[in-house]
Amino acid sequence: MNQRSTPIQVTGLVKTFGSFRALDGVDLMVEKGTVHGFLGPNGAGKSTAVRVLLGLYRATSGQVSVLGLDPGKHPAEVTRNISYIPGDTTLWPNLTGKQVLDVLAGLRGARNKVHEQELMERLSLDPTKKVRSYSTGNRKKVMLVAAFSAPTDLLILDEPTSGLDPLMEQIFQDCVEEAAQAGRTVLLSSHILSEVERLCTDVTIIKDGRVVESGSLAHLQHLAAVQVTIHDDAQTLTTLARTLRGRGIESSSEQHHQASTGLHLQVHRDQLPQVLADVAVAGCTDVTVASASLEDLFLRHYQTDAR
Amino acid sequence: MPATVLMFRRHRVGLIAWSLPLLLMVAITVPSYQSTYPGLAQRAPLVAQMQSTDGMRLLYGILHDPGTLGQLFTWEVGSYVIILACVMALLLGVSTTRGEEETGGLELVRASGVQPMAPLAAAMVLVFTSCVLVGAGSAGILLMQMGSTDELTVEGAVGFGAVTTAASFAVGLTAMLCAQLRGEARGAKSWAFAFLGGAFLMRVLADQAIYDDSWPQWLTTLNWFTPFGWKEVASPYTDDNLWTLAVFALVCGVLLAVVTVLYRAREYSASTLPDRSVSTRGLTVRGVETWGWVSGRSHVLGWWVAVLLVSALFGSMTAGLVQTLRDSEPTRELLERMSAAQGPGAVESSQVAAAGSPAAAALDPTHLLAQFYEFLGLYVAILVAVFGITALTRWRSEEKAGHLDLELTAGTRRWRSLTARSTVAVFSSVALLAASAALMGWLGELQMADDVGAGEAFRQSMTSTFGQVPAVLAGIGLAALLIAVVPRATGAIWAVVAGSGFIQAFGGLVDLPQWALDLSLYAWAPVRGEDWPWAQMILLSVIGVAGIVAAAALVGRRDITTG
Repeated sequence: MNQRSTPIQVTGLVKTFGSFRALDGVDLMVEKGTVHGFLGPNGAGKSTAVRVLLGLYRATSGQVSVLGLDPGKHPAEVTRNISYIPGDTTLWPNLTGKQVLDVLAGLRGARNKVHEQELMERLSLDPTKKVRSYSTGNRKKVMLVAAFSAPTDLLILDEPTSGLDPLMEQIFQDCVEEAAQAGRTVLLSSHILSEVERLCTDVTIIKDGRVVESGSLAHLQHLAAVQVTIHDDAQTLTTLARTLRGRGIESSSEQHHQASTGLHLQVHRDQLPQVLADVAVAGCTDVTVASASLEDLFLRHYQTDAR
Repeated sequence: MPATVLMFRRHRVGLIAWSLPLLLMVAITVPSYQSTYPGLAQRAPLVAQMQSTDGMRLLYGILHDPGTLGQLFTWEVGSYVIILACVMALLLGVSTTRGEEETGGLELVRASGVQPMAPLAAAMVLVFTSCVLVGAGSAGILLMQMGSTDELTVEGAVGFGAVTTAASFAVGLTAMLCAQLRGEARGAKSWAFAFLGGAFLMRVLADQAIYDDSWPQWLTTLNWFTPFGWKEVASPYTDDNLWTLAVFALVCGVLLAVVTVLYRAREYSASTLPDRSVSTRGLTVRGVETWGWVSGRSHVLGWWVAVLLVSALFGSMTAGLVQTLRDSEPTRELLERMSAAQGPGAVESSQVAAAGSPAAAALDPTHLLAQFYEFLGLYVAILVAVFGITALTRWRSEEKAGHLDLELTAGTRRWRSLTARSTVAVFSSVALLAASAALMGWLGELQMADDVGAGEAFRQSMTSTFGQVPAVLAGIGLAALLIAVVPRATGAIWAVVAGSGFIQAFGGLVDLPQWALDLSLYAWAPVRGEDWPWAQMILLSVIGVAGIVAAAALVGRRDITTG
């Protein structure tokens, strides 16, 4: 696989802390110029994986290549071209917003002041205040300005919009889209599914330190079950439910009014023609077929025991 | 009540960590005076000398006649106990009020159905308890020690305990007052410390006016207005003016009322004075080396000022203390046991003594001055070692706080990031040791040139104090290695420093075996006119340099952990 076209290549990544396996054979491929959603329930290992990508943690085993280099061996070379927003934004409390930007740019040795100024205006950030007097949202803004204005190829964003108001969230989404259009690659870890749905072309979902789903969003949606809802009188629906159970399809019913009830089915895509034929035979006329929402897609994986 | 329980639960470690060592200090003082100077007669030359030494008066205040154990305790160690208890109350006063508000902990408490005043009351109860713990504990210890001497009195013990409690509680309340005025814990602390500095200065002026009639006598009343002067006003073990305690209690009551009114009048997390933390100033950072300096410079400058002030203070006492050494044999012995020369030099001089060297040699001013500088060099070196190590361990604190993540994900090399801090630590502490040695040498030169010859004091000071460079280097090297390899055990470096300090200060007094004495990092400073412990000095330097180099090589192999 070409390193230029795949800025992040991870295969079989394992990271243990004592006897605890935080990452248990994670594979992750992020293509250049894409916005890649990195999802999973709390404690799934997202932040651990991100810290390995940044060279802050050493991989226990597995291959990790970021921008063509092993971050465990060359963290400085790798991170020079990465903008990172940590999940917990802890900035130096006694510096002002502007001074934080000065320090980060000074350490990197590269800066785009025009872009920085423009972002500060867009996010309406007052950079003259001390970090300790900023709200959580304003601290996030400082990091957003630093991340998007730095001349880097890869952005690794760990829950970048927690604490932002909806207006700022909108501006953030615009910034991500602009970055992708400019050829930059974005790895976005987020719990805001609408944000992921709008921005990401690809998605990797991890749970308990393992990848449970990975691929393009469209493909995942295609693979997922289809939601079929039928409304009719109780008797018709009972008969239909029995027929479907005969084909191995479970359904759930709900009582709406006295006369009319609804039947809900999760149907795999290749079973859909057969199901619709059965519905037609039953003579039902109030039928809705919808692709599974992302919510359904993700929540299926989020349902897990606490780890 | 639940708020008070929570407050104690959150601050119990600080409470114990402060009060226990203070009480320990109280407990060992009178017995050690007793063993060194058993009777008033042996103490007379010492007392006379202490009374006339300006630096001593500046530091501790007036030492009253005839110099009973109680008076000596109140004057010297009592001063330390009061100052440290005040610092304790100050830190607790700010962190239990503004500190809790700043971290957001108080928000949860206030939102859990407690009365708005409850958190402030809890903070006051906590600070008051800690002050009582130190004050009443000291009084209790002093009362118990009455069994072994008749130089202590009940009134004196009660008076000292009450003054300590009142003075520290007043400072704690003043700190809480600053915490109402300022919107940030750091700012409140700096104002409260500025108040402490002013209070100390007022006490110095007042005591000088008491000692010297040519000063304006109205200055003596200043002691009423500074918590540090209350000791002189109440005069435990001398005049025992116990009625003055009512006045101090009244002052505390007024402060308490003012703090309460200000607290009631402001919104949660707001401050009485407007917040002015706005700045358009930028920072010029060219790479991680400049950042290492920029982020650490205020720490460096603060320590420089403090260590140089201490050096100036002790340096200014040179002539007086050398005089004391000559006049008081017990003091001479005590100092010899508490000085740096545990190495070959000490063995050699004790052999000389055993061979029956003339007593005159021991009273030679050059020899006495060398002893004095050896002692001083040791204490300055320990201070500088603490500074150098904290300058470096800040890296680990930054790591835990998550700030290092930002630094290391901006294309910074990890070994350079750590080495930038080691470099700042090494250069600033070596330079500080040199500056301090030069300052003390120069002050000694001003006072002693006629007795020991021009240049001798300066050379002695440089040898004994700057000669501790290898020990300071070794401390920094060990700390660097701990940070790089076993970061969780970084705190162990303080065991090394404290252990070395303890061996040095008390090892001779409790007759530790020679091999144990040799373990101290600070036992190997050269003394002018004696053989230099070259091998040990080189070994310590190698430990320092190798530690820093190895740390740079190994720090890339571990995880960077936060929290």
